[in-house]
Amino acid sequence: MAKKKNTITLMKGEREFHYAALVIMTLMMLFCIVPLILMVTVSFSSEQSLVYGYRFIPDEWSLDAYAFMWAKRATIFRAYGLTILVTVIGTAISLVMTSMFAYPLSRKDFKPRNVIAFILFFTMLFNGGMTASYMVWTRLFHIKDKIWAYLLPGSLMNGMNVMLVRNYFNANIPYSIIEAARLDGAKDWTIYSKIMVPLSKPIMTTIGLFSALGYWNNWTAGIYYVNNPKLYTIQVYLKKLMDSIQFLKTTDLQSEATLLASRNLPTESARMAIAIIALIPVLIVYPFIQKELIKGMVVGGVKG
Amino acid sequence: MTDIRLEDVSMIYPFHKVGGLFYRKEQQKILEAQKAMPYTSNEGVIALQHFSARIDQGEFVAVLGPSGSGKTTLLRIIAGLERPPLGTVRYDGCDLQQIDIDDRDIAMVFQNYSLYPNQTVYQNIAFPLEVKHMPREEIAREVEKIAGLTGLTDKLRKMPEELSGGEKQRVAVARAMVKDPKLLLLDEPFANLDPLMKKKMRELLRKLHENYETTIIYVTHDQYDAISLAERIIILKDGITQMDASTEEVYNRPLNRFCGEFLGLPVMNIIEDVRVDKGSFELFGEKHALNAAQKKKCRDRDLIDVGIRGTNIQIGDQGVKAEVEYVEIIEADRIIHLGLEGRKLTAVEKINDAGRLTYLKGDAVMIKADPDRIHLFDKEGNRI
Repeated sequence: MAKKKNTITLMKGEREFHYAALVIMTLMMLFCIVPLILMVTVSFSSEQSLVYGYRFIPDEWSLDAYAFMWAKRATIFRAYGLTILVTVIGTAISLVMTSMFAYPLSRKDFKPRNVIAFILFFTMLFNGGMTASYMVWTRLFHIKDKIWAYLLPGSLMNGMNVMLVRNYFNANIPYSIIEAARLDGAKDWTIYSKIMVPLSKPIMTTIGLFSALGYWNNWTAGIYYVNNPKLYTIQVYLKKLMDSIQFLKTTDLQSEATLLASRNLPTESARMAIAIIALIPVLIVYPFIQKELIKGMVVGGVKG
Repeated sequence: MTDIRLEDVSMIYPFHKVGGLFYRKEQQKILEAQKAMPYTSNEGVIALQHFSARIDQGEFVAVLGPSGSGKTTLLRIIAGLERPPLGTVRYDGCDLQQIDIDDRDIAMVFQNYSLYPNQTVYQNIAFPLEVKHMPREEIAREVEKIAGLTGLTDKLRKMPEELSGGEKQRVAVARAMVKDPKLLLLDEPFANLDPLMKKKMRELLRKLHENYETTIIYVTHDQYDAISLAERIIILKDGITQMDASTEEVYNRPLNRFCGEFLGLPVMNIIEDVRVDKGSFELFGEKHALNAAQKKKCRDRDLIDVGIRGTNIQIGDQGVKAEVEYVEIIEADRIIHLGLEGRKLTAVEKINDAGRLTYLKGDAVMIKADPDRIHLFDKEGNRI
């Protein structure tokens, strides 16, 4: 007896829709994955094979870029360590500050909340510009050549994140829970720490990841405020290294010896190798938080 | 000693504001719906009007009224969650707003339970004690005691999402009672429960009231809950107090037609436009004389409305002939729906072995009103 096929009956037009969706999603996936594959293959290519452009399958395989990285391992590990430190501390402070800012804005009984929300929103649209910010951070807060240069400017608290968390609080945590806690005798700090934050895991994961990525990829702060090589993060180190290699390769002032050395330096492949090294922690962490992240992105955007 | 005094309290909720670029149509609809509400002023919707009451230590008071009558607003004002623009709320003689929320010693059970979803049943119940920084051993003792009373001992390690509606409600009651509050506020706590669970919860509440002697204010639109639990009932309609009296009095001597019709199942029969003639009126073929006080309130030829509860209509050999339309059996009662000269009436009869076995549609029965249980209302609905 013929076995009945286990099939799902599609309605008229649904099959076409499924195919169209499949094609679009495949294209979008390729847009994301192709640069990543290219980055990996380029990092394993010899410098000479890259003269005529990038290829998915290198003409000549080489580990020169990674050998170069290994030679610089002391500096790279220090930069790596500093980046992790900045990311962990920055993300932790950012999460605390963002959620603490969002909590009163979500409270109906906090009368100035609309004024404060407006001020917050205003900063999302307008700011003092680079020069004014630079003057404030260096002259008033004296962050130049300090680790604070990575932590404070820009990334510490983001208006958009505050709005996301506030919306999450409003839309997902019934206000009567706060009222119940108040009547149970809980003060605001207890309500915030024991109820609001534990109930906001999805949105906290989302903004935590945004914030961590922001800190991890932040190279501009280092370029603007840091001159001490010991305080270079991995991104700043990558930028400085590329600038130096480029300088050696293009300058007219180089001696025969440096010219010879610079010709053998891996540039494109090294750039990709450092980018891969910088990407590894994100690739490791992402699968563990993916579920909460998607939940947070969906619900945080809902207007409360 | 805990007593609550509300003096001339009014609450106005501002109209919904229409603004912004988005959702304007929806916002306009909300505003129009609010403006169409029965009691509105220039500032907004009046949820409560000139409400005054005194609730003494250990009393069990039910606030009864239809949806939108201001019951929950009243409860929230007493809890201190809303600040009325007019009037004062005094708690043991002090203005409630002047007392720190920690010192109020008020607990509230919300209609939607409002359990903390991230905490176990034990943690939920222990929360009010933890914020008081009570020693752990004492917290454990108190939680176990209240869990025993509420039948939650085997559920203490569960998360709220693993519980049924009735269990969640019991956790909410346990959390409210564990700190032994001076005042317990209940906002339609049994609204989502099935009849059997409601019965169990009523028993539990009665037991807790007896054990803890807590002052309880119970807001509901379920008159059965109110009658069966409360010693005193406050009836609200459109934010205005209709009656504030003992349960017996509200049932037996309703101050107006609304109270008479609102309390009691089945709803009180109202025979409209009965003419007063020479100090008496006619009901079911019998003449009933007005007493002296009633005579002062209405003159000859006046039209009045006569109210009589189904339980006070006697079916027997005397009176006027009515026709049976259909019969409902509710617990031990038989509710007989009758037609009389184009009017619909309901009579209630206890089902017992000695009585008639059944009534069929179209059966003719003789009905008569208990003369001591007739309620008279003027055309404004006030008791005569």
